[in-house]
Amino acid sequence: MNFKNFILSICVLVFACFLLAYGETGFNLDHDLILQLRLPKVVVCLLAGGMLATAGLLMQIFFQNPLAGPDILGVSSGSSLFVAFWMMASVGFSQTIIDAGMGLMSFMGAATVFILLIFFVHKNVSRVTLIIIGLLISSFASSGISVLVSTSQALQLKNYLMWSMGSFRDVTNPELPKFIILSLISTLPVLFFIKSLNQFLLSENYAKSMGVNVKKMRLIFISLAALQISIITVFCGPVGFIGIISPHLAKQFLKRSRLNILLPAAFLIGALLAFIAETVLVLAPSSSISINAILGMIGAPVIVLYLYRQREWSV
Amino acid sequence: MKTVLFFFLFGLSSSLLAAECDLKHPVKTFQPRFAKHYAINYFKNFKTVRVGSSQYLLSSNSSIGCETSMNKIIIPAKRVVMMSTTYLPTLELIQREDTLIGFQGKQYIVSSSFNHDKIRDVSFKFNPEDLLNLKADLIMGYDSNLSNPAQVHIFKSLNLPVVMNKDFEETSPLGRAEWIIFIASFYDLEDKAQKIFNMISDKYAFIKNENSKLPKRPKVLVGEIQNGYWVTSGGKSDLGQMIADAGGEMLFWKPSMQTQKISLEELSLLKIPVDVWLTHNTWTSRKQLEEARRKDSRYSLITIKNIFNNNSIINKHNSNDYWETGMQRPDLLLQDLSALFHPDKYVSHKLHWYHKL
Amino acid sequence: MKHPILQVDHLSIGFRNILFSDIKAEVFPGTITALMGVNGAGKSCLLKTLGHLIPEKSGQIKLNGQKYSNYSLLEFSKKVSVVLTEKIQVDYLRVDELVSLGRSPYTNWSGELDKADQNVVKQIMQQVGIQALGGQFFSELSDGQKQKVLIARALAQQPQLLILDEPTTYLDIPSKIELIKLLKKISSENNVAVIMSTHDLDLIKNQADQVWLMGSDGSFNAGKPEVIEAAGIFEKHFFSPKLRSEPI
Repeated sequence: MNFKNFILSICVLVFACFLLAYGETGFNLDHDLILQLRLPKVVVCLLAGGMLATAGLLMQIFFQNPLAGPDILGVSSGSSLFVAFWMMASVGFSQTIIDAGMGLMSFMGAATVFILLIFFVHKNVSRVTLIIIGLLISSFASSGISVLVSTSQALQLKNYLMWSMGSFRDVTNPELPKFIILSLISTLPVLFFIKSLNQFLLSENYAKSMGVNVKKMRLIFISLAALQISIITVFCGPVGFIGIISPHLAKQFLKRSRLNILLPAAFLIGALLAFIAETVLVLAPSSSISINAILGMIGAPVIVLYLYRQREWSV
Repeated sequence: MKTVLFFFLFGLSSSLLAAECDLKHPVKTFQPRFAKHYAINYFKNFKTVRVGSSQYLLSSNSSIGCETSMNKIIIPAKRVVMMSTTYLPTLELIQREDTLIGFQGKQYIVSSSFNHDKIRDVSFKFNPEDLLNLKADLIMGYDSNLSNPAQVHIFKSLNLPVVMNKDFEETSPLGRAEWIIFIASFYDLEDKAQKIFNMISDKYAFIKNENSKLPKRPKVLVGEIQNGYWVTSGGKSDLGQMIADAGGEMLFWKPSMQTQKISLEELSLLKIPVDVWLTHNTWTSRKQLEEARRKDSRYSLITIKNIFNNNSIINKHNSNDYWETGMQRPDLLLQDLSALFHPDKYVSHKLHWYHKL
Repeated sequence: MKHPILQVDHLSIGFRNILFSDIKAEVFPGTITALMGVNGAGKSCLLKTLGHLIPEKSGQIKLNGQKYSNYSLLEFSKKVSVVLTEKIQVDYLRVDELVSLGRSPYTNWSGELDKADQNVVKQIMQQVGIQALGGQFFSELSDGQKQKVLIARALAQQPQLLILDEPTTYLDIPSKIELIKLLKKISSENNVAVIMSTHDLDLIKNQADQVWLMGSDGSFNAGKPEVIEAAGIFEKHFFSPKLRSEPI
């Protein structure tokens, strides 16, 4: 194992142990407290943070665009729009149908945006244009959401507003196994495609010239990233910035790009960012900061710094 | 000679006008007992109503020639547009339901006394054209849709009879309920409203006094889990005050009007059993509650004896009468809460809004 | 008599519409083919078609006597490799890692190189003269070094046919000469057929075994450089009539 990845794993472990032992009530090893509240929170941070980072990395390689990410390309908001639509439309259905529909709609929203983006990539839009298109998709989705919100009733509105805040704390023990299984289903397969991802590092054409079935791999990458993003959207709400900045932080830290070591590092850094956001919430219990606010405070400067260092970044 | 006569007449008429419009010496002043944000001054031919920093001149004479910057409202109101369900119980109590011709969000109206076919749905963001078209003689709304200066300017230039209601800024349940007299003043029905309000406040005071003699103060938990936190009402909110007046002890009491976020860890440290849990969620049955509790195992962190929700009376759009009549009748609400906290004393009380899950 | 490695017959190429048609040519192992033509004639398109990156519009291409469509992508990648004009923008990718990517058609699912693969990579880096750059980041190299690294990556696929799209364009003159010498050496030492597009007529004239010329009038000419030159075809396509008529 790479030494730097080992260090990252230790950091993740330290944070996990800290958040298991320490909470709003201080150092307290009460059984119920750890099992009911802290354990699900720590597991969700680890997996959701890691999955967001993985999805971000997949998108950056796939679109050959260092600014790609679930939020910036509008995939998260596409997913949110479909979920919001479902929340408002599913009044009166049974809980099982509502839950199942949420997952399906979330995935369809993410996949729809991906298909749109691929369409534009194939029309040879520049990398900056793609980002702008992504931002426009985001704002279209937000507008769609506000139209839905303005026509909906108080109850659905409240549910939606709660969900749209984003939280790593709303997966509870009975839901936790489902979340873990879905996370693993969407993340573990990525390990089998590390070789192809490495080949994609150069470009789609080079990958093809090295025997990669580009169409098949494209479908696989997109499905996995869409699945990851939609799982997070359903269980945690929209969570920003981890997806786009984790791959950059991982590269800066490792000074390596090969996916064999970059992927684990990005996953671990994604988890670390989630842990850091949760730790801030634990240390400031009475404030009403949301995780998205904390992540934005970390994420936006990181992106600006990256752009500043890459001044010659060509279009 | 003609000129002299002209000046004489002019002087006479303007002094008459001045007498008619003497705003400095009201004949009578009404200062509410509990409400802090309005007052009424009575003059010979008109009255003025002050709400916060705005004043309105109410008169039955449409040609009253007062030179004033106040918005003039012709009373008694016959065509009324309202923006909040909390104003509606007043119309019922003073029996003027038929004057309501426009409302923001008709689906929120729970009471069956209103004829929906005669009421136009108006948008939350006031549309001046729409309102002009309604030919209303009173449009009553609240801060968030009335305080935009640009809009205020438009209302004024169109002479729209817009009036601000600040009942939501009151800091006590009775203060809020006392706005019945404010609304009644636009119908010249203050005396009737005053009688109704006296009945409400007397009853409230009586129940409160009765409860204060009871030795037992049950532990009351308010709220639910949202986004990984226990979200509850502030201790100084209406509900907080009423729980105290109903002889209960509110858990996680904080001296604030605002909604409070309590960490679930703090909640789990609550080792004493909760006597009454007032959930203001959407659950209407035990089954729904159990389903939710099964999905969110964190509810099992606390031991709860009795669970009540406030949604006995809801319309087909799930709008809750608690936020309509409940706000106007703190006496009945206090009765409900007292019966939940002290079932032995209030055996015969039939619950209005609360019901056991 | 050697067999041609590549046979092109009545080939039409294009991305969406047909750009160029009726191409007929052959390529033999161990030779260098220079592809020339004015900008926009369709050189890149032809090379991408020959590299199996885009489909042919009509006609056929045979590799070792077999139609392209008979090869699986993986088999094909062990026979033909490419150096493209696409700018590679990846930070922190080391030169040895990039060259090793060329072995990926031969590795298992994990992409890890075994001893034999590592030897091939080492040997090729030596042959290309970049063994000293192994630990450096690709993004920090000069254009000439980058081109060599990309050639080394392509060679790591151990191809019979190496296709290069304008490998000399952004280089200074000494680097151009060095690169062409390198390609010459590789083609003879490894018995690889090289097809490269270029604008550097004078440099390639004496090194290429054959020239393919895509004319702006839609004509395709293939032949030895001296034959093409003697026929005056270079002048016809590369110098405007006006230029030719002016006294020097």
